[in-house]
Amino acid sequence: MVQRGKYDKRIHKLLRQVRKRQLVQKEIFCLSIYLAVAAGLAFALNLAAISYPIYQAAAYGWYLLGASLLLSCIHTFACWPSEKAAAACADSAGLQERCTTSVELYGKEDELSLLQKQDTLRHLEKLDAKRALPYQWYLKRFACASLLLAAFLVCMMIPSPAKEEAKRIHALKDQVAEQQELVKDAQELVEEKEKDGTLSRKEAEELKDTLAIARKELSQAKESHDVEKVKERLENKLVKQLAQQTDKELLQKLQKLASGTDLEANSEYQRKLKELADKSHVLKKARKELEGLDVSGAKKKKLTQELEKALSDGEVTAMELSEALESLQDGEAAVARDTIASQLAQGGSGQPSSASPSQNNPGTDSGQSPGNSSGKNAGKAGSKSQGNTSAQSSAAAGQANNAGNGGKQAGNGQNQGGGYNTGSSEGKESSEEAVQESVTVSGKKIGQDGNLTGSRRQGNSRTEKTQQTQGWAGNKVEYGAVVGEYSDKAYARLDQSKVPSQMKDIVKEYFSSLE
Amino acid sequence: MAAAEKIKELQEKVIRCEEEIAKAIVGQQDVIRQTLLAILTDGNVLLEGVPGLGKTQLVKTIAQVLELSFSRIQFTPDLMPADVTGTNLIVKKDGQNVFQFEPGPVFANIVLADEINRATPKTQSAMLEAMQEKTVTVGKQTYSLPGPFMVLATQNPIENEGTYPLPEAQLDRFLFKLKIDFPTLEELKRIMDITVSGAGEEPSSVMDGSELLEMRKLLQQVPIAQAVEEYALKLVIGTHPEMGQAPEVVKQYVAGGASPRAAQAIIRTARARAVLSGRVNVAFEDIDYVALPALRHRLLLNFDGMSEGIEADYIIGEMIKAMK
Repeated sequence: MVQRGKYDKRIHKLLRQVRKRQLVQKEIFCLSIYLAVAAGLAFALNLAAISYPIYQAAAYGWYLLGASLLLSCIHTFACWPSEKAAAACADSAGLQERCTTSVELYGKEDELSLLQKQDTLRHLEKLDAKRALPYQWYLKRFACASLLLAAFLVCMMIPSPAKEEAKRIHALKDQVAEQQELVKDAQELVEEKEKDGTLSRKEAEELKDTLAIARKELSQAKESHDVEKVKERLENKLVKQLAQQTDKELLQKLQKLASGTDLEANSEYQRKLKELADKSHVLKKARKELEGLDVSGAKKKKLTQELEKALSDGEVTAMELSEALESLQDGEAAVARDTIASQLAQGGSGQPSSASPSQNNPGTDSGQSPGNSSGKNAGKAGSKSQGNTSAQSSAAAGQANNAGNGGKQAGNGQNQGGGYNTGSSEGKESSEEAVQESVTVSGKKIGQDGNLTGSRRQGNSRTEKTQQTQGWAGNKVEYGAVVGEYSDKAYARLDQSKVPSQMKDIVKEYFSSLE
Repeated sequence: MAAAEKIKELQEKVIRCEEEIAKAIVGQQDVIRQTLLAILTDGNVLLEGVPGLGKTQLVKTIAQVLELSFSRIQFTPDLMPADVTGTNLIVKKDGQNVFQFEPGPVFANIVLADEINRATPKTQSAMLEAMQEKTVTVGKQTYSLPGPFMVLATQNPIENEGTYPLPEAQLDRFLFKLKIDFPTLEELKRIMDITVSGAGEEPSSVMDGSELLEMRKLLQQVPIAQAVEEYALKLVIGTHPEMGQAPEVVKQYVAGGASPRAAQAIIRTARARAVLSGRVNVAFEDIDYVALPALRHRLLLNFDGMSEGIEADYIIGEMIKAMK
């Protein structure tokens, strides 16, 4: 670093004024170019927007103009003049390279150098920078920029169908993007469920395929109603697929119950089992009726939501399903709905309402007031997210489809004969005698005989009070509807699983005692 | 003495010199100024002009004003080198015949080589050592010339018969080649007044040789900005047609460019010019001012240039325009 003498400092100070003018001049120069270019681009863009759908062309035009201002400032400051450049600029005002020489002589103190600096100072002090270095305004460029700007404003004001079309396309894109995002979320959820084992690989693949197709369809959507259609199709597919899944889940739950390790057979356990069987039965019935129901997608959706709610609560009673069906408003579907409702009511008339799934109110009154939905809301504490509950609800509807008519034995079993226990004496007897038995499954006492109460074909129903709270409190189902099936599945499961032989004996003994 | 005072004194003395010379030479201010620049920077000058324009008179007046020893050599085809440099003569000394060096006319502060192109190249070459090294070698002995030493040569551009164009090596040793133009009507009137009516004044001396040598030292210290120096060097490089930076006119008409002596000449004389212009730094205009006399005799025109009658001055003018 050169140590500057007093003349050097004075020259530096005087050159500062020149540098400021240089900076302003540079800004004017940059602005004239950038502004003209930006105005030209803005005009071209808005001109094109009259014929072609370009969304927010005017806004882009303003952005361009703003950017030109910003860029000109950045450019100016990036090209900050050096002291040598300032000296050269001052020299151009007639100082005949005095300043340039002086700047190069900074730090030199010999006689001639000092003399030269003094000479430079004399001339610099006399220099009137405003007159000697006037700003150049580039009027042609600014005039050109002004014209282009005016043209841009005119183009911006002109209404055209292309501009409306641009708005419509943009709205559609937003809609598609929103739906794409939802589908993406759903895909992530499916992957998550696949990882935690809630969904099997095959099921997950099916769901992913469905979602991928939906995404593709969404990306190809040309109109807003295309998106709606895709949305509707996707919902229908998902409802169907998830319904199958929930059937399996339900079945697995039942199997789990049947092959539970807690072999303390007490009345509570049996009652819960029976509730589950009843539930399955009613669901199947409702499902079957819904299959034949000629209602719109929206109505089905509504019904699905009702079912979903019921299933998410963990308690699906016949009465609740009846209520859900009654909520349908469609005129044509009314007959079918009434039929379903009456059948469900019939099916549920002999059944006590299920025990509440609430841990605080575990179905104390169930069975005493048939069709009563008491405590149904209490179990919502454990409900899942919207998507999950939808799947469960749909599954409830779909369950009836696949399960057959076994659940209907309570009312019409003699004539129909389909289902799990088709033609079995249990079905008849239960029909004739309206034998109901509550089975309460206590999670903590499963496997202990003492937990099971009552006996087969007891002919009366009973209510068990339990102080044990549990998340899954059990449902009321027909005894005969589940026992045979459970036994078979339990035996099959026992053969497939690695269960100690003694345990197998206990389980088999238990199920044989139930029959 | 402070540098400021020295510079002031130099400026004053040069102005006085010009005024004194103007007593004998009418007009030709630029030629006078450029001649003085060459003298101030230790250079030789080639004066070119038709007969009768006062070339010889100018040199004689300068010698008179500067109070320097002056000798004139009239170059003719039969002039021998020894006639210029001097020769060893046999003289009797203490009864014995011994060789004694008899200095030639070149042993002076200012040598006027009149019509230098009339001598043979051999004789012209006798000036080379004197002009560059300021020495003369006769036999095995080398003799130093008195300082300050300078050669002011003249030549007639139109009389080609019986002339020998100066070799490039000798031309390059001239700092400036000055062209003396025909005087204007007003100047011619004044010349008539001075010469015919005898109303002219005798010029007086302004400075001596020692002062001149001090001034030369001072002028060497005048600062020059890098940009200005680069400009001078680019000008010199630009005279070479084989260089990429050469302007189109050079590529078209020039066969050979200026030597590094040209760059030295430009910068040295530009410094002197700056001081005489009242500055202590060299400006671009100083370079432009001295570029023409410093380069014009160093450009070797090619066949196209010669056949089209292109002059070196034109090429240099175009070069300066192209460089700006």
